[in-house]
Amino acid sequence: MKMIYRSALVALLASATPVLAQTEEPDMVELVESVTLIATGLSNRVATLSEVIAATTDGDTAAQALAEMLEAARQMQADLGSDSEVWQDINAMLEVWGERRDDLRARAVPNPALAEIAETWQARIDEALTLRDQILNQSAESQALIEQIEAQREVVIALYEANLADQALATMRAISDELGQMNEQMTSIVNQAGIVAEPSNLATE
Amino acid sequence: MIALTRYNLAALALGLVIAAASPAVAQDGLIRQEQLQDLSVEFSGIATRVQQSVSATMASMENLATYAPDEQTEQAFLILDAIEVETRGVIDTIKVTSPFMSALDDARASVLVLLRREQRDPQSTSRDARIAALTTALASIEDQAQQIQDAEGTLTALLADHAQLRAQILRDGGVRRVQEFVADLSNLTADLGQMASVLDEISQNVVVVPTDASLATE
Repeated sequence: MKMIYRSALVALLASATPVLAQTEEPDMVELVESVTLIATGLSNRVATLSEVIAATTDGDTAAQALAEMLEAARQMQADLGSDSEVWQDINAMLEVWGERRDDLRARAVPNPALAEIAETWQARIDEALTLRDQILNQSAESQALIEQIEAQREVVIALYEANLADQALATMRAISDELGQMNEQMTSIVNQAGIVAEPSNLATE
Repeated sequence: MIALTRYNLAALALGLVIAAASPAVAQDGLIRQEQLQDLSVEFSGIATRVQQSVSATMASMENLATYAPDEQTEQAFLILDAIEVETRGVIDTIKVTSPFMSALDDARASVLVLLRREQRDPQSTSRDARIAALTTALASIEDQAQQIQDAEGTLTALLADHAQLRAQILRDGGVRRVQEFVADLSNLTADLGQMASVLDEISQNVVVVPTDASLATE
Protein backbone atom coordinates (compact mmCIF):
# COMPACT_ATOMS: atom_id res chain seq x y z
CA MET A 1 0.00 0.00 0.00
CA LYS A 2 2.85 2.27 0.89
CA MET A 3 4.55 1.49 -2.40
CA ILE A 4 1.36 2.22 -4.33
CA TYR A 5 1.14 5.58 -2.60
CA ARG A 6 4.75 6.29 -3.47
CA SER A 7 4.20 5.24 -7.05
CA ALA A 8 1.20 7.49 -7.36
CA LEU A 9 3.29 10.37 -6.14
CA VAL A 10 5.99 9.59 -8.68
CA ALA A 11 3.43 9.39 -11.47
CA LEU A 12 2.11 12.75 -10.38
CA LEU A 13 5.61 14.15 -10.35
CA ALA A 14 6.43 12.70 -13.75
CA SER A 15 3.44 14.46 -15.25
CA ALA A 16 4.53 17.79 -13.77
CA THR A 17 6.90 20.17 -15.52
CA PRO A 18 10.49 19.19 -14.75
CA VAL A 19 12.02 21.67 -12.38
CA LEU A 20 15.66 20.91 -12.76
CA ALA A 21 16.54 18.53 -15.56
CA GLN A 22 19.57 19.94 -17.33
CA THR A 23 19.78 16.90 -19.58
CA GLU A 24 17.10 16.03 -22.06
CA GLU A 25 14.36 13.94 -20.52
CA PRO A 26 14.75 10.31 -21.66
CA ASP A 27 11.80 8.85 -23.47
CA MET A 28 10.99 5.73 -21.50
CA VAL A 29 8.33 4.56 -23.93
CA GLU A 30 10.90 4.71 -26.70
CA LEU A 31 13.43 2.83 -24.60
CA VAL A 32 10.98 0.03 -23.83
CA GLU A 33 9.98 -0.12 -27.50
CA SER A 34 13.63 -0.35 -28.53
CA VAL A 35 14.36 -3.15 -26.08
CA THR A 36 11.19 -4.99 -27.10
CA LEU A 37 12.10 -4.67 -30.77
CA ILE A 38 15.57 -6.07 -30.10
CA ALA A 39 14.03 -8.98 -28.16
CA THR A 40 11.50 -9.68 -30.91
CA GLY A 41 14.21 -9.63 -33.58
CA LEU A 42 16.30 -12.16 -31.67
CA SER A 43 13.27 -14.29 -30.83
CA ASN A 44 12.31 -14.51 -34.51
CA ARG A 45 15.83 -15.51 -35.48
CA VAL A 46 16.01 -18.15 -32.74
CA ALA A 47 12.59 -19.54 -33.70
CA THR A 48 13.76 -20.45 -37.19
CA LEU A 49 17.22 -21.67 -36.20
CA SER A 50 16.19 -25.24 -35.34
CA GLU A 51 14.70 -25.70 -38.79
CA VAL A 52 17.73 -24.17 -40.45
CA ILE A 53 20.08 -26.43 -38.51
CA ALA A 54 17.94 -29.50 -39.17
CA ALA A 55 18.08 -28.74 -42.90
CA THR A 56 21.84 -28.55 -42.82
CA THR A 57 23.28 -31.35 -44.92
CA ASP A 58 26.69 -30.15 -46.03
CA GLY A 59 29.38 -27.57 -45.44
CA ASP A 60 27.69 -24.91 -47.57
CA THR A 61 24.34 -25.04 -45.78
CA ALA A 62 26.18 -25.23 -42.44
CA ALA A 63 28.09 -22.08 -43.37
CA GLN A 64 24.76 -20.36 -44.11
CA ALA A 65 23.32 -21.46 -40.77
CA LEU A 66 26.39 -20.23 -38.94
CA ALA A 67 26.24 -16.95 -40.85
CA GLU A 68 22.70 -16.45 -39.60
CA MET A 69 23.71 -17.17 -36.01
CA LEU A 70 26.68 -14.85 -36.34
CA GLU A 71 24.45 -12.11 -37.67
CA ALA A 72 22.08 -12.57 -34.70
CA ALA A 73 24.97 -12.24 -32.23
CA ARG A 74 26.43 -9.23 -34.07
CA GLN A 75 23.05 -7.55 -34.15
CA MET A 76 22.71 -8.08 -30.40
CA GLN A 77 26.14 -6.56 -29.87
CA ALA A 78 25.28 -3.56 -32.05
CA ASP A 79 21.93 -3.10 -30.29
CA LEU A 80 23.19 -3.33 -26.71
CA GLY A 81 26.93 -2.54 -26.82
CA SER A 82 28.50 0.54 -25.27
CA ASP A 83 27.99 2.53 -28.50
CA SER A 84 24.32 1.62 -28.78
CA GLU A 85 21.42 4.01 -28.45
CA VAL A 86 19.89 1.88 -25.68
CA TRP A 87 23.07 2.15 -23.60
CA GLN A 88 23.28 5.90 -24.09
CA ASP A 89 19.61 6.31 -23.24
CA ILE A 90 20.01 4.43 -19.97
CA ASN A 91 23.02 6.50 -18.96
CA ALA A 92 21.17 9.73 -19.82
CA MET A 93 18.18 8.49 -17.84
CA LEU A 94 20.32 7.83 -14.77
CA GLU A 95 21.80 11.33 -15.00
CA VAL A 96 18.39 12.99 -15.20
CA TRP A 97 16.84 10.88 -12.47
CA GLY A 98 19.79 11.48 -10.18
CA GLU A 99 19.38 15.23 -10.68
CA ARG A 100 15.67 14.91 -9.97
CA ARG A 101 16.29 12.91 -6.77
CA ASP A 102 18.85 15.43 -5.53
CA ASP A 103 16.59 18.37 -6.35
CA LEU A 104 13.70 16.78 -4.46
CA ARG A 105 15.91 16.06 -1.47
CA ALA A 106 16.96 19.72 -1.40
CA ARG A 107 13.36 20.89 -1.69
CA ALA A 108 12.34 18.42 1.03
CA VAL A 109 14.11 20.62 3.59
CA PRO A 110 11.34 23.22 3.67
CA ASN A 111 8.74 20.69 2.52
CA PRO A 112 9.35 17.26 4.17
CA ALA A 113 6.58 15.57 2.16
CA LEU A 114 8.92 15.64 -0.84
CA ALA A 115 11.47 13.41 0.91
CA GLU A 116 9.41 10.29 0.30
CA ILE A 117 9.09 11.08 -3.39
CA ALA A 118 12.85 11.58 -3.61
CA GLU A 119 13.35 8.08 -2.20
CA THR A 120 10.94 6.68 -4.76
CA TRP A 121 13.18 8.12 -7.45
CA GLN A 122 16.08 6.40 -5.71
CA ALA A 123 14.16 3.10 -5.91
CA ARG A 124 13.59 3.72 -9.59
CA ILE A 125 17.27 4.49 -10.10
CA ASP A 126 18.13 1.19 -8.40
CA GLU A 127 15.86 -0.66 -10.83
CA ALA A 128 17.48 1.16 -13.74
CA LEU A 129 20.90 0.10 -12.47
CA THR A 130 19.71 -3.52 -12.49
CA LEU A 131 18.58 -3.06 -16.09
CA ARG A 132 21.94 -1.51 -16.95
CA ASP A 133 23.72 -4.51 -15.42
CA GLN A 134 21.61 -6.95 -17.40
CA ILE A 135 22.32 -5.11 -20.63
CA LEU A 136 26.05 -4.96 -19.93
CA ASN A 137 26.10 -8.73 -19.36
CA GLN A 138 24.03 -9.44 -22.45
CA SER A 139 26.35 -7.29 -24.54
CA ALA A 140 29.40 -9.17 -23.23
CA GLU A 141 27.69 -12.53 -23.82
CA SER A 142 26.96 -11.53 -27.40
CA GLN A 143 30.61 -10.58 -27.89
CA ALA A 144 31.67 -13.97 -26.49
CA LEU A 145 29.23 -15.71 -28.83
CA ILE A 146 30.57 -13.82 -31.85
CA GLU A 147 34.04 -15.10 -30.98
CA GLN A 148 32.70 -18.61 -30.47
CA ILE A 149 30.90 -18.74 -33.81
CA GLU A 150 33.88 -17.31 -35.66
CA ALA A 151 36.12 -19.92 -34.05
CA GLN A 152 33.71 -22.84 -34.67
CA ARG A 153 32.82 -21.96 -38.26
CA GLU A 154 35.97 -23.50 -39.67
CA VAL A 155 35.58 -26.53 -37.41
CA VAL A 156 32.00 -27.23 -38.51
CA ILE A 157 32.86 -27.05 -42.19
CA ALA A 158 35.85 -29.34 -41.64
CA LEU A 159 33.59 -31.81 -39.82
CA TYR A 160 31.26 -31.98 -42.82
CA GLU A 161 34.22 -32.50 -45.11
CA ALA A 162 35.25 -35.42 -42.89
CA ASN A 163 31.70 -36.84 -43.02
CA LEU A 164 31.20 -36.17 -39.33
CA ALA A 165 27.81 -34.54 -39.71
CA ASP A 166 26.60 -35.55 -36.25
CA GLN A 167 29.45 -33.75 -34.55
CA ALA A 168 28.95 -30.72 -36.79
CA LEU A 169 25.25 -30.61 -35.90
CA ALA A 170 26.04 -30.95 -32.19
CA THR A 171 28.43 -28.01 -32.43
CA MET A 172 25.83 -25.87 -34.18
CA ARG A 173 23.14 -26.85 -31.68
CA ALA A 174 25.42 -25.78 -28.85
CA ILE A 175 25.71 -22.34 -30.45
CA SER A 176 21.99 -22.28 -31.10
CA ASP A 177 21.37 -23.13 -27.42
CA GLU A 178 23.45 -20.15 -26.39
CA LEU A 179 21.37 -17.92 -28.62
CA GLY A 180 18.33 -19.46 -26.95
CA GLN A 181 19.70 -18.48 -23.54
CA MET A 182 20.30 -14.96 -24.80
CA ASN A 183 16.74 -14.93 -26.04
CA GLU A 184 15.49 -15.85 -22.56
CA GLN A 185 17.67 -13.18 -21.01
CA MET A 186 16.18 -10.63 -23.43
CA THR A 187 12.77 -11.46 -21.96
CA SER A 188 14.12 -10.55 -18.51
CA ILE A 189 15.55 -7.32 -19.91
CA VAL A 190 12.23 -6.37 -21.46
CA ASN A 191 10.46 -7.10 -18.16
CA GLN A 192 12.99 -5.05 -16.22
CA ALA A 193 12.66 -2.17 -18.72
CA GLY A 194 8.91 -2.30 -18.06
CA ILE A 195 9.49 -2.00 -14.30
CA VAL A 196 11.80 0.97 -14.84
CA ALA A 197 9.42 2.67 -17.26
CA GLU A 198 6.31 2.21 -15.16
CA PRO A 199 6.77 3.33 -11.55
CA SER A 200 3.54 1.53 -10.62
CA ASN A 201 5.36 -1.75 -11.27
CA LEU A 202 7.58 -0.97 -8.28
CA ALA A 203 4.53 -1.55 -6.10
CA THR A 204 4.66 -5.24 -6.93
CA GLU A 205 8.34 -5.63 -6.07
CA MET B 1 42.58 -7.50 4.59
CA ILE B 2 39.70 -9.31 2.91
CA ALA B 3 38.99 -6.25 0.79
CA LEU B 4 42.60 -6.12 -0.34
CA THR B 5 42.44 -9.73 -1.45
CA ARG B 6 39.28 -8.99 -3.37
CA TYR B 7 40.88 -6.07 -5.18
CA ASN B 8 43.95 -8.09 -5.96
CA LEU B 9 41.70 -10.62 -7.64
CA ALA B 10 40.13 -7.83 -9.67
CA ALA B 11 43.60 -6.77 -10.68
CA LEU B 12 44.33 -10.38 -11.60
CA ALA B 13 41.37 -10.33 -13.94
CA LEU B 14 42.66 -7.19 -15.59
CA GLY B 15 46.04 -8.82 -15.92
CA LEU B 16 44.44 -11.84 -17.53
CA VAL B 17 42.78 -9.53 -20.02
CA ILE B 18 46.26 -8.66 -21.14
CA ALA B 19 47.92 -12.02 -20.65
CA ALA B 20 45.40 -14.36 -22.20
CA ALA B 21 43.60 -12.36 -24.87
CA SER B 22 44.09 -12.38 -28.61
CA PRO B 23 46.23 -9.49 -29.93
CA ALA B 24 43.24 -7.25 -30.71
CA VAL B 25 41.61 -7.84 -27.35
CA ALA B 26 44.97 -7.56 -25.61
CA GLN B 27 45.39 -4.11 -27.14
CA ASP B 28 41.95 -3.10 -25.85
CA GLY B 29 42.89 -4.58 -22.49
CA LEU B 30 46.03 -2.48 -22.37
CA ILE B 31 44.05 0.68 -23.13
CA ARG B 32 41.57 -0.16 -20.40
CA GLN B 33 44.36 -0.94 -18.01
CA GLU B 34 45.98 2.41 -18.73
CA GLN B 35 42.65 4.18 -18.25
CA LEU B 36 42.06 2.46 -14.94
CA GLN B 37 45.60 3.18 -13.87
CA ASP B 38 45.32 6.90 -14.71
CA LEU B 39 41.91 7.21 -13.10
CA SER B 40 43.05 5.34 -10.01
CA VAL B 41 45.92 7.78 -9.61
CA GLU B 42 43.29 10.51 -9.77
CA PHE B 43 41.36 8.66 -7.03
CA SER B 44 44.43 8.68 -4.87
CA GLY B 45 44.78 12.46 -5.29
CA ILE B 46 41.12 13.01 -4.49
CA ALA B 47 41.31 10.73 -1.46
CA THR B 48 44.31 12.63 -0.10
CA ARG B 49 42.67 16.00 -0.69
CA VAL B 50 39.39 14.89 0.91
CA GLN B 51 41.22 13.52 3.94
CA GLN B 52 43.05 16.84 4.30
CA SER B 53 39.80 18.70 3.92
CA VAL B 54 38.18 16.54 6.58
CA SER B 55 41.10 17.23 8.93
CA ALA B 56 40.84 20.96 8.24
CA THR B 57 37.11 20.80 8.90
CA MET B 58 37.63 19.09 12.23
CA ALA B 59 40.08 21.82 13.22
CA SER B 60 37.63 24.51 12.12
CA MET B 61 34.88 22.92 14.15
CA GLU B 62 37.05 22.85 17.22
CA ASN B 63 37.60 26.59 16.80
CA LEU B 64 33.94 27.34 16.24
CA ALA B 65 33.27 27.94 19.92
CA THR B 66 35.91 30.65 19.99
CA TYR B 67 33.94 32.82 17.55
CA ALA B 68 31.39 35.33 18.64
CA PRO B 69 27.85 33.96 18.32
CA ASP B 70 27.02 36.14 15.31
CA GLU B 71 30.12 34.86 13.50
CA GLN B 72 29.53 31.20 14.29
CA THR B 73 26.79 30.78 11.68
CA GLU B 74 28.97 32.29 8.99
CA GLN B 75 31.84 30.00 9.96
CA ALA B 76 29.55 26.95 10.09
CA PHE B 77 28.31 27.69 6.58
CA LEU B 78 31.87 28.05 5.33
CA ILE B 79 32.65 24.61 6.77
CA LEU B 80 29.56 23.12 5.12
CA ASP B 81 30.44 24.79 1.81
CA ALA B 82 33.93 23.28 1.86
CA ILE B 83 32.68 19.76 2.60
CA GLU B 84 29.98 19.97 -0.04
CA VAL B 85 32.47 21.00 -2.71
CA GLU B 86 34.57 17.94 -1.86
CA THR B 87 31.53 15.70 -1.78
CA ARG B 88 30.27 16.82 -5.19
CA GLY B 89 33.76 16.35 -6.61
CA VAL B 90 33.89 12.77 -5.35
CA ILE B 91 30.38 12.02 -6.64
CA ASP B 92 31.33 13.24 -10.12
CA THR B 93 34.34 10.96 -10.05
CA ILE B 94 32.51 7.79 -9.03
CA LYS B 95 29.01 8.13 -10.49
CA VAL B 96 27.87 5.31 -12.72
CA THR B 97 28.56 7.27 -15.92
CA SER B 98 32.01 8.47 -14.80
CA PRO B 99 35.12 7.53 -16.81
CA PHE B 100 36.28 5.22 -14.02
CA MET B 101 33.03 3.28 -13.88
CA SER B 102 32.95 3.09 -17.68
CA ALA B 103 36.46 1.63 -17.66
CA LEU B 104 35.37 -0.81 -14.94
CA ASP B 105 32.35 -1.77 -17.08
CA ASP B 106 34.66 -2.44 -20.01
CA ALA B 107 36.99 -4.52 -17.86
CA ARG B 108 34.05 -6.53 -16.55
CA ALA B 109 32.79 -7.25 -20.07
CA SER B 110 36.28 -8.30 -21.16
CA VAL B 111 36.67 -10.72 -18.27
CA LEU B 112 33.29 -12.27 -19.08
CA VAL B 113 34.32 -12.75 -22.72
CA LEU B 114 37.59 -14.35 -21.60
CA LEU B 115 35.74 -16.61 -19.18
CA ARG B 116 33.42 -17.87 -21.91
CA ARG B 117 36.43 -18.48 -24.17
CA GLU B 118 38.16 -20.55 -21.49
CA GLN B 119 34.97 -22.50 -20.85
CA ARG B 120 34.94 -23.59 -24.49
CA ASP B 121 38.51 -24.90 -24.35
CA PRO B 122 39.22 -28.60 -23.71
CA GLN B 123 39.31 -29.48 -20.05
CA SER B 124 42.70 -29.39 -18.36
CA THR B 125 44.05 -28.51 -14.95
CA SER B 126 45.45 -25.20 -16.14
CA ARG B 127 42.23 -24.34 -17.95
CA ASP B 128 40.21 -25.08 -14.80
CA ALA B 129 42.54 -22.89 -12.78
CA ARG B 130 42.13 -20.02 -15.25
CA ILE B 131 38.35 -20.43 -15.16
CA ALA B 132 38.37 -20.37 -11.37
CA ALA B 133 40.55 -17.24 -11.37
CA LEU B 134 38.38 -15.47 -13.95
CA THR B 135 35.17 -16.40 -12.14
CA THR B 136 36.50 -15.04 -8.88
CA ALA B 137 37.85 -11.96 -10.63
CA LEU B 138 34.52 -11.27 -12.29
CA ALA B 139 32.77 -11.43 -8.93
CA SER B 140 35.44 -9.11 -7.50
CA ILE B 141 34.94 -6.52 -10.22
CA GLU B 142 31.19 -6.67 -9.65
CA ASP B 143 31.75 -6.26 -5.91
CA GLN B 144 33.94 -3.26 -6.50
CA ALA B 145 31.40 -1.66 -8.83
CA GLN B 146 28.73 -2.26 -6.18
CA GLN B 147 30.93 -0.77 -3.49
CA ILE B 148 31.42 2.37 -5.57
CA GLN B 149 27.69 2.61 -6.29
CA ASP B 150 26.99 2.31 -2.57
CA ALA B 151 29.52 5.06 -1.89
CA GLU B 152 27.73 7.32 -4.33
CA GLY B 153 24.47 6.61 -2.54
CA THR B 154 26.02 7.48 0.81
CA LEU B 155 27.45 10.73 -0.50
CA THR B 156 24.24 11.93 -2.17
CA ALA B 157 22.41 11.19 1.09
CA LEU B 158 25.14 13.12 2.93
CA LEU B 159 24.41 16.21 0.82
CA ALA B 160 20.74 15.93 1.78
CA ASP B 161 21.74 15.76 5.46
CA HIS B 162 23.85 18.88 4.99
CA ALA B 163 20.87 20.71 3.58
CA GLN B 164 18.91 19.74 6.70
CA LEU B 165 21.70 21.00 8.89
CA ARG B 166 21.82 24.34 7.08
CA ALA B 167 18.07 24.71 7.44
CA GLN B 168 18.30 23.95 11.12
CA ILE B 169 20.93 26.65 11.61
CA LEU B 170 18.83 29.17 9.71
CA ARG B 171 15.68 28.16 11.57
CA ASP B 172 17.37 28.52 14.95
CA GLY B 173 18.77 31.90 13.97
CA GLY B 174 22.34 30.70 14.25
CA VAL B 175 24.50 28.03 15.78
CA ARG B 176 23.00 28.09 19.24
CA ARG B 177 24.51 24.86 20.44
CA VAL B 178 27.97 24.59 18.98
CA GLN B 179 28.55 21.16 20.53
CA GLU B 180 25.51 19.71 18.79
CA PHE B 181 26.52 21.17 15.46
CA VAL B 182 30.02 19.82 15.85
CA ALA B 183 28.67 16.37 16.71
CA ASP B 184 26.31 16.33 13.72
CA LEU B 185 28.95 17.52 11.33
CA SER B 186 31.51 15.10 12.72
CA ASN B 187 29.24 12.19 11.81
CA LEU B 188 28.75 13.48 8.29
CA THR B 189 32.42 14.22 7.85
CA ALA B 190 33.24 10.70 9.01
CA ASP B 191 31.11 9.37 6.13
CA LEU B 192 33.05 11.49 3.69
CA GLY B 193 36.33 10.32 5.20
CA GLN B 194 35.19 6.73 4.87
CA MET B 195 34.36 7.27 1.21
CA ALA B 196 37.81 8.77 0.70
CA SER B 197 39.26 5.61 2.22
CA VAL B 198 37.32 3.53 -0.30
CA LEU B 199 38.81 5.58 -3.13
CA ASP B 200 42.24 5.21 -1.61
CA GLU B 201 41.88 1.43 -1.41
CA ILE B 202 40.75 1.26 -5.01
CA SER B 203 43.61 3.46 -6.14
CA GLN B 204 46.10 1.16 -4.47
CA ASN B 205 44.67 -2.09 -5.79
CA VAL B 206 42.95 -1.81 -9.15
CA VAL B 207 46.06 -0.64 -10.93
CA VAL B 208 48.18 -3.66 -9.97
CA VAL B 209 49.16 -5.49 -13.17
CA PRO B 210 49.97 -9.15 -12.45
CA THR B 211 52.99 -10.68 -14.11
CA ASP B 212 53.37 -14.18 -15.51
CA ALA B 213 55.15 -15.07 -12.28
CA SER B 214 52.30 -13.86 -10.08
CA LEU B 215 49.75 -15.67 -12.24
CA ALA B 216 51.74 -18.87 -11.96
CA THR B 217 51.43 -18.76 -8.20
CA GLU B 218 47.61 -18.53 -8.34
